[in-house]
Amino acid sequence: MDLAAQLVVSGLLAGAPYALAAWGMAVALSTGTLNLTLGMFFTLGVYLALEATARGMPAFYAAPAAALAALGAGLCIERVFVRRLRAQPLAAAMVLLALAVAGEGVFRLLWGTAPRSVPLKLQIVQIEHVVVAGLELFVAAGAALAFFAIVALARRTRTGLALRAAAENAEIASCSGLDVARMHMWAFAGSCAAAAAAGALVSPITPVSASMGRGALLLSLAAVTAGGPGLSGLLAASFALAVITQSSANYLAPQWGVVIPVLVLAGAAAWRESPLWRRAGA
Amino acid sequence: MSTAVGAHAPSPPSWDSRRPLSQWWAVAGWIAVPLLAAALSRDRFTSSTLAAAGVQGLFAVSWVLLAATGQPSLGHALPYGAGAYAAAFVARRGGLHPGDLGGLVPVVLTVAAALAGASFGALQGRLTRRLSPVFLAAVTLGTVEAAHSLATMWTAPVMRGVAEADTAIPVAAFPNDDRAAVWIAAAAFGAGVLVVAALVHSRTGVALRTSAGDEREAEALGFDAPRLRLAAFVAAGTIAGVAGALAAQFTGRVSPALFSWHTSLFVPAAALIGGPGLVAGPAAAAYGIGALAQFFDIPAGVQVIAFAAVLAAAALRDPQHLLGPAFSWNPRPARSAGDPRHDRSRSTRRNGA
Amino acid sequence: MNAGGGDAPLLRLDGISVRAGNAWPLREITVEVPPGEALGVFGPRGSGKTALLDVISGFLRPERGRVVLDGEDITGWSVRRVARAGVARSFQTPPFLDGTMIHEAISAAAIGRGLCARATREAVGRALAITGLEARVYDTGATLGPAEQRLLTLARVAAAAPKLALLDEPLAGLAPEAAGLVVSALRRLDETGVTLIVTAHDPASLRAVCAYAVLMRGGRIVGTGRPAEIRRA
Repeated sequence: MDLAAQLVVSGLLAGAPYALAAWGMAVALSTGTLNLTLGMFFTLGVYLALEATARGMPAFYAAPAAALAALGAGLCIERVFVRRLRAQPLAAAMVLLALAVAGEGVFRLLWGTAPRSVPLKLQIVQIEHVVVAGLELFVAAGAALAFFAIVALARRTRTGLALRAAAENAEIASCSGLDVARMHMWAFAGSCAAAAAAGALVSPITPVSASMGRGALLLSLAAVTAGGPGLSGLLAASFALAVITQSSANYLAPQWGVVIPVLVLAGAAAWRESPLWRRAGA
Repeated sequence: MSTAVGAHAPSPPSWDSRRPLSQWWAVAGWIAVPLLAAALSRDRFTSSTLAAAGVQGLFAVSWVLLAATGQPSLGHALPYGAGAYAAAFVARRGGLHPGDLGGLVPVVLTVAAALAGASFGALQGRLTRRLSPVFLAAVTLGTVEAAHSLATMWTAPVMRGVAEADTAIPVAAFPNDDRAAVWIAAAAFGAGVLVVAALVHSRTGVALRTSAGDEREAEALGFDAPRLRLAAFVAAGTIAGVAGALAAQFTGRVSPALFSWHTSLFVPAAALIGGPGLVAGPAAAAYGIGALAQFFDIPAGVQVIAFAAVLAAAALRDPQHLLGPAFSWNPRPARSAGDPRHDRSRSTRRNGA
Repeated sequence: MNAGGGDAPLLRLDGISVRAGNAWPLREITVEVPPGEALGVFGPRGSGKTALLDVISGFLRPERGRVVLDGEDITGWSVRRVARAGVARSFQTPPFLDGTMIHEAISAAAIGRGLCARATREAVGRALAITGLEARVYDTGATLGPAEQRLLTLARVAAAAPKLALLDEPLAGLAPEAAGLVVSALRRLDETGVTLIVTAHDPASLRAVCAYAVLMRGGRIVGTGRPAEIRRA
């Protein structure tokens, strides 16, 4: 029982940043774009956190810095590539995949292939029989803060309202005077920023490699198809996936950390009906 | 079957649905290239390079079946790698060596690989048959990533000097003679191109290509589009499995690297270079790319970036026809100047209109 | 409503009602169509014209009522089963056939019905003659103009050799000259003896093809008679 509680708590805490990344995927998907660069930006966030902490910046500031950098890059990518291919989502996905692959190559070139980690020493906290590393609390707190900011932006600002309107029905939103193209651009950039922030937050508790973003990409997609695109379902799916993935990685083999999200992704997409991923007329 | 139209129909005009002879010559030409190269190769290095290239061509032409049904799979490495691993599994478990079973070991391994490829192709097809092309691409890419992870869990005796040495699985190498390997690969390449070309341009091919379009339209025409798309995955997986078995037997090893993005992105990139909507072109492009990559020993990390760049370039250049036009055989060139794809304003001149 | 003639109807709809959530796209539709006749279905957007074709062709399952084709109750049949029973259907949006040659696109209809190779060739030949696309047989869909795309859709219907052809707004969006070409092809198709149900906004557009018509509004039939007698939708 203690073991189960430990696994659940650790999974939930570790899953918070991945829930942030999953939200980023859901936001981009709601505008009709499958953001296959999400994993790349996740990895970028990790490496930026690495560099930031190596230069003496407090670890907590690495996440917003990474998010800002990714926001800028996301704006450029959307403006140059995604916008012109909005009517052809497959073509857009191919271009984004190419950027992701190129990004992985650049990461390998810049940072090499040797395993690295972000140094961050925090205390261990014990609650009843459950031991929680300070790192995990730090990560979860950072993700929770980011989420609160996002929810506040989405629900309490005119920009957030406009973004949601554009995502729900672009045509009607356009007829009411909204610059839908601009909203989509910010949604895509926000998706990239969320992924980078998630990567920066998770960097202290996970080994760093150029292809680590693939796991985040798959987990995000799995969370969206299993629980999304609504926020509450998305969060529930993200945390559940994180708990299951973490447990199976610890008790079976680390490789299951990739296999389980893929199984969930494939199963949920095949079983759940949603216009986001279903074939037209199917 | 009602022949309501037949009773009072105007006399049907004479028209010829036979394929132009020039197209068959083109296919024959592309098939002849590996055979000619096999005849001319003299040293072991060239032979092994061309053998690998022939296998890559066979692998690429199998993906054409998916493209013809509008299914942009980015996970075709799964049946390919599954075929290779199936051959390795059967060889190791059976303790098979070349020469056993009256020399039929390669056939047994290839059949096992074909079955494995078909099974995993069917799995991919079943999971994705109602998904949009974008999500089909994403899910199939995910299946390769999962397969890679699972493959790293299957360990075998260490092979010296091999990358990922703790996960490479040795296979009974066949044939011992690289000259034989290059001829086998060339023959497999030719057979694959012929089979796929004949299939795509047959009545079954018309049905397969119709399933690529609107599902309601296909249903109204009498086709079970999801089933046809699944059948394409099974057929493509079977051929890819055979290619995987050949690759395993020629190199004498399998490894999780078979389930890589490099392997998966190779086939659509070759298809785009060789000509979207063609059959022999992608196979020939894959043959050429495979030969060059082997000859110059281009690292996989560089290759995958190049393949991704090809996908992006094709997507930016002609986003609407990424999978190619629907594989029609030698259509007549458009009469009007300008891009015929956007020329929708022409009206026809008809006699007796 | 009986579309005329004393023959046993080829198609009979008995009290068809279709429900979609809280809406009723079709309410109590009753109509009979004799074999070989051409029935026009007119009405404004949202009146239920396409829903009517969807029910007959199997895309929609009625909440109440029956669809009887040639004496057989086909209510609730799958789309493919209805197609095999001799119903061919065209849609408002022409299919995307950019790279497909015309003869291949047409032959798909015959192959889908299970015709052998020889019968397919003959069916394609007849369809080309009906629609006047003989000269375009080796061209691809990308080279077709708007009228030719509609003719290609008609050719697919003709090649299926159906008992009943359901044509959803074949004239929509066409200029008068182009519409004239399509109407001529419809007349030739009608002359082959196939039973037609054709939808359109304007009764006048199909006056030359349809002997009888129904006017739909709000999912109901609100008028019947000859197209000239039907009030403009």
